[in-house]
Amino acid sequence: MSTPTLHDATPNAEAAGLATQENALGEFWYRFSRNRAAVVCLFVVIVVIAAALLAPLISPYDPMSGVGAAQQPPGSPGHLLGTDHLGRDMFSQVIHGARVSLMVGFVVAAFATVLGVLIGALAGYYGGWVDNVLMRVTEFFQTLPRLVLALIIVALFGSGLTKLILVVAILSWPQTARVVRTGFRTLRSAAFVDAARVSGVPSWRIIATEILPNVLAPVVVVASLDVASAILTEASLSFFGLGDPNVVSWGGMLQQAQQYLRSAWWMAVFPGIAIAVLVLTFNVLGDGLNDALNPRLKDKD
Amino acid sequence: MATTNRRGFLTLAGVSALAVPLLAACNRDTNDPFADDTGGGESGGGEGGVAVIVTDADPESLNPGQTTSNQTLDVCAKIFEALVWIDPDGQPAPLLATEWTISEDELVYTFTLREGVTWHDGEPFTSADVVWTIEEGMPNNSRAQGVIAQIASVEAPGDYEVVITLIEPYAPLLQQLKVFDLPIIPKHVFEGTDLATNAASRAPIGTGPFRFSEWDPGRSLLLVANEEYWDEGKPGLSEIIYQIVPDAANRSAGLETGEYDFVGAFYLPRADVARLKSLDNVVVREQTTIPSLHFIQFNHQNEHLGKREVRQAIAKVVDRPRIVEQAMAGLGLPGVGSFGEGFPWLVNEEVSYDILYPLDPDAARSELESAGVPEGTTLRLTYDAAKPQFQAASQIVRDNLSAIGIEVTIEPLETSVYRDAVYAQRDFDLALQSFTSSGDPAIGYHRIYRTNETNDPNVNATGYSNAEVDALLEQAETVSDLEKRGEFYKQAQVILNEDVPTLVMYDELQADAVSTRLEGLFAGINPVDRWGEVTATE
Repeated sequence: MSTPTLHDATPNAEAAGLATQENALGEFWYRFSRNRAAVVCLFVVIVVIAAALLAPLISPYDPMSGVGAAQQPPGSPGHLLGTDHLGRDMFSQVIHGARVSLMVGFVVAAFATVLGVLIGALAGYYGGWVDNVLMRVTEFFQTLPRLVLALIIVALFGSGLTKLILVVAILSWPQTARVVRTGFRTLRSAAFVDAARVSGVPSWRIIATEILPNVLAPVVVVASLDVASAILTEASLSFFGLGDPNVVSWGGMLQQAQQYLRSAWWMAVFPGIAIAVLVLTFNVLGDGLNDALNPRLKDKD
Repeated sequence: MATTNRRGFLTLAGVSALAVPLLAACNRDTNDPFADDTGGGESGGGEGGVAVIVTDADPESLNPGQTTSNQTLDVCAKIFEALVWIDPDGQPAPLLATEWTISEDELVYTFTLREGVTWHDGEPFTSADVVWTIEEGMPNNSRAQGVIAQIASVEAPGDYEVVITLIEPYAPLLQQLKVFDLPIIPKHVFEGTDLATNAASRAPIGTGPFRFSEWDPGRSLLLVANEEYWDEGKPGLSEIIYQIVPDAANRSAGLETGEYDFVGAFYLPRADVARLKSLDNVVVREQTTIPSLHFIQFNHQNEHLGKREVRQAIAKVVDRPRIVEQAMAGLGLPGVGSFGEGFPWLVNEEVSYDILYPLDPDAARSELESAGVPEGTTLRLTYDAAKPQFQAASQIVRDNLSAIGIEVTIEPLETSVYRDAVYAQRDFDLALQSFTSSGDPAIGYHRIYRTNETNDPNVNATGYSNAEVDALLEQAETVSDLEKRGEFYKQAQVILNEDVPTLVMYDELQADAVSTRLEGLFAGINPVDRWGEVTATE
């Protein structure tokens, strides 16, 4: 799997500008579907989202409740993936864990995208000192050691899902901001933008309706990677015992499994697989999106 | 040169405990810095080999007057001695004091000290050391301060006689003259110096069976046999190596492979106990010799928890056996009453939890209903995040209470935040806590129930205040006859088990894991103590 190179992801203004919306979508899907791995991953994501949404209906037991003997191995009657150290059903926990992971992933990505687009757009469009100030701030956040800072904040203010999401989100937007800024810098002197400007369209409308649609493609790619890294950060924090103890999360399950590695391996293996699969999925998906949205990259090859 | 060789030796020791005795023998002949200046090698022991003890971190100091941390006390128990040691039956036995008399009014204790004891630097041990230790030597040792607070005066009428006068009769005094509470430290080394920066706080000088040799921070500590030890023929080991192993799983794995010889209860990962028990080369010893209680404090300021019926209803759903089985890997005794059963002489079986509060969610639910607790009431449960055993316990309590319509929100807090929230601010609904008895209920358990209007830390945070209970506890503290003391505790349990200001979840069982090549362990009540008796075989 190759990581998409974000800075090369120059928005394809002409393609997006000339093609009608329907054609663009069709072309996008045509390109995307040629990437088999990405299609499989899209399918996996849809399945996981469905499982998360329907968790209370699908999961056989309350994931927080002891429902049987402790540490039953996978395949025990009534417990497909076994039970944990407190006799809770592993299968139910893995399904419910998807809710936390996906929620953290999507909320963080949404937050990072909105903030990143806003800051990147302002910096790229206005340039000059605005650009300078905003980019220094962006760089500051980008250089912060992500996990260490998250650990400190959670240790100081206590753990909780909202705090966790906020922490990860605050650390995630700079990537988006940089990508958006690059796009705006390229397009701010494009002919169609100049045209809009001379015909008296206010700046905010130029930003929002003229330039922004043309830089969204790489933003989508970055967002899918944000989802993956947010899921991973949440899992890491929970693994360090800094997650929210009142929800079932894969990282939290791993943390509790630590001392049972020798006696109940399944407590670590299933949440571990779940995290790995979901993170990998979003990465491959981002890869696929990048290829599909930036046909020029492919054409160059 | 010698140092370099010894470092190499320590590394080797870490690799293979089997090779150690052989190497140690070579080492003693060539490099031992104490080998030359000890004339009395014939009379001393120390021919029995090497034991490797596991610890989890560097001790913060090797001056027992500076701290009560486990890592420090563990090492210091081998180097220092106290007036008495506590035998396996829990009774004080002569150590630096050979005998003692207690006055009729139980206020004056007269100790005769052992003659012919020398400090590791050759100076004689006398009554001046005892007096100085009590008066000035233990400023930062909170356990020692607990004893010293009971003492009105300490005098030395002769070189080998010490008279301790108490403020009022105090039953557990002798229990608290052991090395973990009041180790005797050398006056001639520390007097007039800054105790914290004195070199002897990192290279200690004691009277015990082992003397300090070397400390390789982050890796290991080395103690060697005291060839001039007063108790002839002891110690049985020539060296003790403390191997610092931060990762818990590696400690039990190292014991399994024979790399380590002793993993004390404090450092043994509970989840591994069952596996270690099944091994041929390891003995696991479970004990409650120093009982400790784990309990749930109810904040009586909470509109619901202030009502006795609500607390009683909760007592009927908290599954104490399940907590022991699943959260403690079976290393506990499910709670039977306000003081547990670690001290059998005080248990009042007539008002046992088992009789008053058998598991009964249906009854609990209807009791809650009649007490006016609405379905879906939320209670916040907190615990010190540094105590991992409470993570599983808290989840079981949440599971149990959800069965009667109470939603529990778990909020683990960092140690200092926890202490502030629970004891100073009283900002909690349910708090999980554990207290050690330190060998006597008067030392460790009274604080669970006595009135605490000044919000003292680590004392009853529930807000429960019962003059009758306070009076009974005070009486139990001043009488030394066990039967009479037991009566006071039994009366207190009649009230406390009924009021449940705090619900006892379980008595913790300690599990120490030892290699079968060590013999003579557990001579004292505390397995960390009395290592002079230990020998190593192949």
